[in-house]
Amino acid sequence: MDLPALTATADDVFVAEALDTQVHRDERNRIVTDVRLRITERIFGERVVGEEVELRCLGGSMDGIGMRVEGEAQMAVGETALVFARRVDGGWLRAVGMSQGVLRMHAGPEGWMVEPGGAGLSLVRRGSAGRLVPGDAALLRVTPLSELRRAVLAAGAGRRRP
Amino acid sequence: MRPTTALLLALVLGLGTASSTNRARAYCRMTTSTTAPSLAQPCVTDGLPLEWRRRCFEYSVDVGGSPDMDRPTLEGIITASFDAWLNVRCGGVAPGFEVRETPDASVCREAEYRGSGGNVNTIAFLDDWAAYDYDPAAFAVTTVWHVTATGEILDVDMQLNQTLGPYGVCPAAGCPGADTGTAEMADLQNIVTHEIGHVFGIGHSEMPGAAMYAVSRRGETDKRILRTDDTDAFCAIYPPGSLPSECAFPPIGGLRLDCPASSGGGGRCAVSHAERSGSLPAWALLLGTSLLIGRRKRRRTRPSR
Repeated sequence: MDLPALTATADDVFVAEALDTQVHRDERNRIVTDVRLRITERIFGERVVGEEVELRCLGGSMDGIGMRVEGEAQMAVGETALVFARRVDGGWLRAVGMSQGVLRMHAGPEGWMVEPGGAGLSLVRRGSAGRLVPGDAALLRVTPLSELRRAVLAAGAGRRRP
Repeated sequence: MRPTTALLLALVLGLGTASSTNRARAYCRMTTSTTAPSLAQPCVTDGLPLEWRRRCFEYSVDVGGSPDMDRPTLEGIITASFDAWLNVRCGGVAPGFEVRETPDASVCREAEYRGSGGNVNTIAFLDDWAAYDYDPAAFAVTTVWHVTATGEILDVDMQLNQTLGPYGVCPAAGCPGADTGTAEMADLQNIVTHEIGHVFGIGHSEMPGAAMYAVSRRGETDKRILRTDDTDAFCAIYPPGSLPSECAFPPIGGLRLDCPASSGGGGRCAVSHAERSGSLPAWALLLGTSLLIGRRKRRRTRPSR
């Protein structure tokens, strides 16, 4: 999914740090991992800085049994990421486009840098001359958060007031 | 989604094939690790790789099937999708899997594994996809249950997103509009062949054109046919002689076609026709695994020879 598609599908876009995780069985008997996040920057939506939210990720390990869903988003404790989230009925958040909706970040000399997500997918599209060219991922290279923030706001400007 | 999203394309089949002899490995194995892929490590190799330690297993197609096709057609597509993998030869020799459909359909649409009381590897179409918290743009989710300490696969369940239908059989070159992602129909074999790769413990490939590439255009048929990257993965996991000679088809704990442990309502016996959105995504992610039940049918066994 490209950035406009991610933004269009997200209810909230924010930067957050993973505080802890809790693995348990959900009401469908699946193993899920709830990641507690503290929002450090709101970019789009109704979340506020300092708010703690839960991001639910399918899969995890309990009592010696593991459950995996390939492509599902994951966040490790202590990790900071740019999150494109959608709200679901249970009150928790889910990443938009699975792993595409959680973009890891790291501190660089020019501030926070955002890494491409989507499980390392190399997406391509057909260019005007019919050749296949890279494209349609939210990010194709490590990008400063400041640059990405502007792009997200621009993408979401027509949908609702940020 | 903006129009350019509809232009999302996986590489055409020919490129994947032509480059296969002169490229780095792109396939990725699923592992027990919960570490997320990253820029530095797009294929997570932490943990233990997931793999079957038995050469025979059986699956059940949910009794509700899909409203888009009759049951024989559906079963035929799933059979053909499994055959794509079972026909793989590694150095001229088959790994030795035997896979069959259960005589009875499942009546549980949930992705679950029970430590006792029986299980079922189910294939089910969900018309209430959102109720499962799955991504609305995903054609399917395959859930792989395994032993954390060994990576042994215990159970797999494939759930398909009926709200992204209709599903059907496209011409070999793809349905009209597949190039732009605007096709009316999604090719079921294209999707199921990819999902079965997950059933065998294969993760997403970075190789556009491979069956295990994670993105699919609506109406494409590219993934019906395995590419070298796909067969390399399969042969790496299951080199001939690596599977035990014993053959037992029933799931761990025995076959149980319902799922009473779940409170998610998966035990219902009928599937209503999906009410579809007027603006479906032109593409969708292909993802994970899961399966469930049905009525009596002819037993089939397909050895991979």
